[in-house]
Amino acid sequence: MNNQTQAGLLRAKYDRTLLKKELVLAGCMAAVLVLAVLSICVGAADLSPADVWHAFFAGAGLRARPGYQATHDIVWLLRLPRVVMAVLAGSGLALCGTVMQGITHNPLVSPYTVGISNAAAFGVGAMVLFADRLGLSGGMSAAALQMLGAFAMALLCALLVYGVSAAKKMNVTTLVLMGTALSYLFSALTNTMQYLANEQELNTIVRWTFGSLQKATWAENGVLALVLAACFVTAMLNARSLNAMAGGSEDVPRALGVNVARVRLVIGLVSVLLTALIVSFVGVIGFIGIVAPHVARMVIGSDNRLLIPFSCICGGMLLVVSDTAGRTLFSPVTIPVGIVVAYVGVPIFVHLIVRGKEGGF
Amino acid sequence: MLRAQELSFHYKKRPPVFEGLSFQVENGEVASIVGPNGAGKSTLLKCINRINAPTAGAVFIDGLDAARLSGKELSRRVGYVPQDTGSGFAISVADAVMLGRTPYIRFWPGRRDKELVFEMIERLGLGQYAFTDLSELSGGERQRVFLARALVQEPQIMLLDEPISSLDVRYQIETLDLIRAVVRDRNILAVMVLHDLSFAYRYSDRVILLKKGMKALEGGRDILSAETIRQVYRVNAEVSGSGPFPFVNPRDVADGGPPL
Repeated sequence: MNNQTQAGLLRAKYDRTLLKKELVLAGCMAAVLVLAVLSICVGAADLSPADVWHAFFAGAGLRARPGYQATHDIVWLLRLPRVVMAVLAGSGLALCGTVMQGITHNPLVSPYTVGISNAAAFGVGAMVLFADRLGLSGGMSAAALQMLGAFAMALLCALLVYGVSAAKKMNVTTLVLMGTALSYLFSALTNTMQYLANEQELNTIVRWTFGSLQKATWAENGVLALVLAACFVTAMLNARSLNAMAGGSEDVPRALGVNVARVRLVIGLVSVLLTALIVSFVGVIGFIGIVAPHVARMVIGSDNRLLIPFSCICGGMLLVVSDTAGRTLFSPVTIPVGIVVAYVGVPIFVHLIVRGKEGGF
Repeated sequence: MLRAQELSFHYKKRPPVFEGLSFQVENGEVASIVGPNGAGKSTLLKCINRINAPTAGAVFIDGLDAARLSGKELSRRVGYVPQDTGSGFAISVADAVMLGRTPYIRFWPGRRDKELVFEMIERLGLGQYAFTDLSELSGGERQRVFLARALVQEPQIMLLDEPISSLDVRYQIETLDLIRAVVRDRNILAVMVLHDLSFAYRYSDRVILLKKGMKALEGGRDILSAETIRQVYRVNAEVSGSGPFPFVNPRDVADGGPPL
């Protein structure tokens, strides 16, 4: 067989593999929807899928029935915002993990490597302790203040770590070391806060570090959805550049016409902003940002054009499943999702590590 | 055609790696940059495609000032084969070669991109590995993948940083034959960094000889004489330009050895 026919066969195989991956992507996207609906159904008050359906689409007759309003409220005020937050936060953390691993070409980097979680915890601790005493509240609720504190500190810490390593030409070692150092600093500060706190304050701070979707609101979902959409589009626009940068060498992407410094700056800012926002909404959910990109990479390969959306799907799926498990398995006690996520994620992760190679099928 | 004019480069606050370097390579020619370790060979190579921006002087590609070209425009003209750096995340050979089309692709590769890539994969004998992970390949096979990636950039200039450093002698000859054939067939030009003086002598139309603290020598392959080799490397060598396979035979260290 001559070279051209051989090349044609290879091309056909390439196209087939790509199509297969796209189908997996679409299938898993549908699976997230199914999981979300199932998650809405289960809980203290069991609902049927029909109840969920009716909460969205119900005729006037159905609306007038007794009990309808209660079901409607359970879906719209309790479970749906929570599930939506699970999908958004899971996707967002996975997105950040994927692109941060991409720009640093280091598989151990996650949004939390830059010390964001400890910084955010410190922000919450500081607000819990000092907001009232120093009269900082200005009419805001305690929860809103804590969120603000978490966001501000997470952002500050990430920008510090990121800024220093950017000044050092985005040296990965610098990034990880700076992140670790600041992590310890903020951890010490948080511990100090906890030491100073009374029992009730201590409870608030500690609970926050477990990560929970319980208090998700539609307003938060709206903000997060907008920011996530913008970050996702930015990441996808840079997907080909990230592919070129994945090889570990600085020179190769530059020789391919990629503006490495700009990609790192843009992607770095995107991931820092998104992580800070998510952390301030849901607390510390540490594992997703590292496990989702790896699971995705093992299933679908390293091409960022597919990897980024697939990571988001994996992250969303993992968080929905974890949160549902956390609130139903030991009902009426709810285990915070930040804890459950490790129980669900680690076995999957270990299985994939033991089973196979990276690179997808 | 590639022309370097009064090229200088120094890293921040360091003395210059080289200064006032001028040379010209015509289409259809293979040029080699040779010299001792630390002479700035790779640095010079990277100045040509502005991975390192020259601190003074200019590079002209077919008369166009490279400094005025955007990264994308430059990468459509200059292909680059790095030293084998190992691989980062898992990537298939097909995807690795496809990266060479980065300057041309908007989002997904088109039909022509795929045709070029898979024909190149076949041509370089990589067909059976097309969907294998890059990290599972031997050094020599990986080197060919990088070569394929640079070739599908459809460059007018190929830059190769020690293209035979990780190859056994058979692949060394095959690779250099291939580079020379591609250069002649497509009427493009190649500049490569080589350590092997014999291969540099045998395969080069032009030679650039660098040494720290010495004015660079530039000319035809004949500048690789016993005299210049002794001067630059402090090694006594026999140079034989006659016959079908010219060679340089480094014999012994001159002047009682390098300073410790």
